[in-house]
Amino acid sequence: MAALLEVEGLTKWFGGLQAVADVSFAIEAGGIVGLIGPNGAGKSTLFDLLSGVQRSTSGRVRFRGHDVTSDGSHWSPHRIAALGMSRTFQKVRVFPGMTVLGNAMVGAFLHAANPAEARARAEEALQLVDLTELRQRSTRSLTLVDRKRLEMARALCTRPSLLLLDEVLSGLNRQEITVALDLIRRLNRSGVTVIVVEHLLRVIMELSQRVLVMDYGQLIADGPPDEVRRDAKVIKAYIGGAEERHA
Amino acid sequence: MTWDRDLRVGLIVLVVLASLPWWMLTSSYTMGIGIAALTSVALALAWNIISGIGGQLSMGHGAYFGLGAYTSSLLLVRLGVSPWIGMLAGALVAALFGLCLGYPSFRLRGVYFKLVTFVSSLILEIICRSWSSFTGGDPGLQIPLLRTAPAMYQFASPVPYFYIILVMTSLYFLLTHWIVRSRFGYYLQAIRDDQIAAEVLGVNSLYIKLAGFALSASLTALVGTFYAQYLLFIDPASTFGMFVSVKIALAAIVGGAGTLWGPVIGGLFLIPLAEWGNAQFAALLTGVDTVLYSVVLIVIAMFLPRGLVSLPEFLRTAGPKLFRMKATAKAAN
Repeated sequence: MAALLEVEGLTKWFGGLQAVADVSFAIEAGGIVGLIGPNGAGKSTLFDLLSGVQRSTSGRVRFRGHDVTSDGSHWSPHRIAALGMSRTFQKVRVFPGMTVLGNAMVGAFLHAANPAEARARAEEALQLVDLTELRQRSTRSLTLVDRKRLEMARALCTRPSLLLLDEVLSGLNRQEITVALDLIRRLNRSGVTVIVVEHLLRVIMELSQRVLVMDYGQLIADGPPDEVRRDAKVIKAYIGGAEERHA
Repeated sequence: MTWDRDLRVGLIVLVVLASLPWWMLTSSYTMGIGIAALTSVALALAWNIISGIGGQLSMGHGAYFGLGAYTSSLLLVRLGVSPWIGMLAGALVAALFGLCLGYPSFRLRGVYFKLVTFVSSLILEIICRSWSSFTGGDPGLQIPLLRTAPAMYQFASPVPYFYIILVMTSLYFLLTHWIVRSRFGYYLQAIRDDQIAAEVLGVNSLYIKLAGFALSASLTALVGTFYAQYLLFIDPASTFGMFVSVKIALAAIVGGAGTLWGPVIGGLFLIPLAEWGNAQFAALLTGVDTVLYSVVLIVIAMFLPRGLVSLPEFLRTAGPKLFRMKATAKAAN
């Protein structure tokens, strides 16, 4: 059976800078995969390439068997989203001119047949992330934590089979992290495959069954958390401080 | 369609407006202002779909107004086609022009799109002026007077025209009401707020923008035909002119771009204000209306950037603030 996501030789140059360098991996449906690496390693760029926000310089991405990087006609983000890939952004991008509920509804409309159905789906998702009370609020008045939760709920409304989470935990305190991890695990159990980019190594090791490590655009390690943690290359990449930060 | 507060208030407003010819708009002068005000509301509602709700600011909607006016008028004058049919042709022409314009320019960054729209209506104005053998050129196009001929979109009295534009405005209002609650409307707003974030949620932004633009253009064109049939005379400046595009955008912006009531309030406020200004100062100066437009725009930009619709909210927050300021000033003394 073909893997859910297959990446082959994915490369992205920005002028003279190679942000993503010949990255290859495959992900089966069902797990939680961690993606770690120092700042500037290319993790967010990789997410941009997978979701179609940026075009790769070369390489292939196959999602659910479809080649979304076909030469000459890179798939637009909306086609990839319709296929079942959803994502959040490192710098949260909620819609400032709409309410919390409205934001979620935009996601829900992908599969909802009418506004009433979209509204129902959106309210379900908001309940999942515990934002129901704030649903009529304008996003302008939300805290960062709530905006991150909203972005996640909104992505969930598109019914993804693959969810890319870009640093959803940064800025959260211990309690909030526990809640977020529980949510991610619950999502995963309900059938969503998740790739999580995080800086908190302790968290990633706990959460993921498999960890990918990037440094200077390259994939330097790929395996179970215990192996990766002991990998000399990974340790070297993180020299300069244990990146374990506690709120 | 849920019978909500907006529709309830809208119905009351409609009834009041429909009654105006009986008690307020009793002379042909006042009736003229009433028709001009409603025309402005209709144009603002049409513009608002792509530029307010959709956030793609068009500074060249005069192009579609002119295309509507000229298409139906030329079909009438050259081929004897009834303007009721001609107006549909005008809407189609405007939609096609909008699509051709939008397809390459929607990929450009925001400011370039605005420039392209601005220039497009100027280009049409120039073409209209130069191709005088076809369009009647600079001196304009006269529509033959038939007095009462409903089948040919002409009436002897201004009253039927008032009710036609009132019906059009009401339909545009209903359409806007539906749009803001529909997937189309949510997608337009999402694109306005953050196109990339919208795309990763499955929004085909190019398609939605083109659809909004074509719709807005055709609705604008229909009003163009109305204008031509009401005045029985059109020329390049009064249809494709830059000031036409600016006035259309201004009514929506002053009222509140992106809202349902903004264009309504903007049109009903600006036109009577401009006419009042002209009448007051007629002995001293001309063009006072233009000055008033500028003043209003500056005041709105400085104090009520979200438009007149945000006035209740402004009073609620600013009122207490002013009160507190006065209290602290007193306490300081």
